[in-house]
Amino acid sequence: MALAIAVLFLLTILPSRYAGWTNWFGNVADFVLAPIQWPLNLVVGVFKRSSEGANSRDPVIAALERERDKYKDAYYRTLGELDQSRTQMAAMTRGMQLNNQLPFKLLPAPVIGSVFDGASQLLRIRAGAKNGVTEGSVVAVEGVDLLGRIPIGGVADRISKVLPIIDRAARPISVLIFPGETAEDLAAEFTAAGAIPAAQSAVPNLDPGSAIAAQLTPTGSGTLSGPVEAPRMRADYTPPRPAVGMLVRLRDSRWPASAQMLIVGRITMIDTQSNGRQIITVTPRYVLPVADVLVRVSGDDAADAATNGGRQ
Amino acid sequence: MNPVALCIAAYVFLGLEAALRGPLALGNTAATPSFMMILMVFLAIHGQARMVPWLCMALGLAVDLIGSRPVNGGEVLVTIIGPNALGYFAAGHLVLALRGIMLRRNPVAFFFLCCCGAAMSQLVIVVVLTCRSAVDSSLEWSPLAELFARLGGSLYTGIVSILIGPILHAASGLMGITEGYNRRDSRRVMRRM
Repeated sequence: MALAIAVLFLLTILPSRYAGWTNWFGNVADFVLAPIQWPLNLVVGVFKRSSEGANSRDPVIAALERERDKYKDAYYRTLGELDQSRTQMAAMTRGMQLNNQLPFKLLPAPVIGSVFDGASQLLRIRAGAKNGVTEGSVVAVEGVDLLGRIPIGGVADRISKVLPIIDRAARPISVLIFPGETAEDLAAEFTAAGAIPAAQSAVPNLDPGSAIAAQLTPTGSGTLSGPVEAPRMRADYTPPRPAVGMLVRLRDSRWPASAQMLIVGRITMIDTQSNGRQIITVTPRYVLPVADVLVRVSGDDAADAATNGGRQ
Repeated sequence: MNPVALCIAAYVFLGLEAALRGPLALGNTAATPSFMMILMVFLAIHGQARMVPWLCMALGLAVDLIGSRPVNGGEVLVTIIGPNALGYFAAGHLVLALRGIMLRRNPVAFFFLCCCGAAMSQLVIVVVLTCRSAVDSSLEWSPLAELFARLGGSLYTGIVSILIGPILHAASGLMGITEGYNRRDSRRVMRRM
């Protein structure tokens, strides 16, 4: 008994760099637990979503909104790639070697459940290395809302663990806010009769140059918060200001290209400090636990996994 | 005890632990109920004294294996084996020491033992993880905040045990748990402690 306690204590204080092998046992436990956790998670998800009123939305409107968001996502990603191409061209003129952009594919994966230990809440998804998921893969909800990414040691053969961006253990992220781009329901853009309103004046300014930058840190209560970065101003320039309801998109060089411009959430609160600096609070548009996610898998990794899986 | 029924019960409660802890968290706090702790207390009340510490350690080990912790600012995940096993072991000993002076089927006694057992296990977990954070700084750990949240969770576990206790008592026949246990057995354990 004393020996068992001593071994357990030593395993507890074993530094992380030597404890990588313990993940194998964790992955086996996840695999064994998945058959019971998945149905329980589905039941919990149904109760939670119905209590949040998410199901009250018109499914047609919701589908249209998803389509709109997908096109917006593609548009913003193109803008980001254009911006990167400019940087690459500038680098090329200096003779630097370039990293080519890898294509990615979307891999749908159901959420089996979560791992809650008080300090953090990881999500377990039913997609693993055999499906092409790799460490660092980006995970989104409904294709355009950024959920998080898969940390090192979070990929098993058929199950992966996702660290959400709102988890208190997650690192701060850099974001952009495009003035005028709000998260209003598409339904609000239609009249009661179903006709498109004549006034289409509220077209958002999608110029990346006019975007507002911010650095967001998870608060641990399901939101992210952080200061808006003050732009370099000319004397005659009035900087754009964030407003409640505006959408916030990821623009962080520490994240892969496939994650850039995904929606982080919408601004739910703005606190102006005595020095005039604005602190924004951003809330994701989804409610955890979600039922399904989309993993953005690098095209080459997915092809390799398919080949290897086919051999086995 | 029937080992097959015990394994099935442990599997179901582990599933509940994994699926319901997050959704049942109190607001935005880390105070959550522990279903495995309720099962452990139930087994510690009714089990043979020499078996209980090993059983508690095994249940704690199972909880350790299903929980990964992000370290290095969320870049790396690691499964820390040990804290819950040690915590459940200590809680099992506490329940063994107290069960001799408790009415087994009294829901208030069950509530009390669940609260005490959960608090003991969380105290041990906070202590050992604080030791770990002193050795390895990659784990972000604030002992006091964790302790308060976990003690809140212990009370929550006790409240949930009021609902689950009758179900466990009803299923005690299936698990091969007999009515009688030797109080002198518990006293012997207490003397050894």
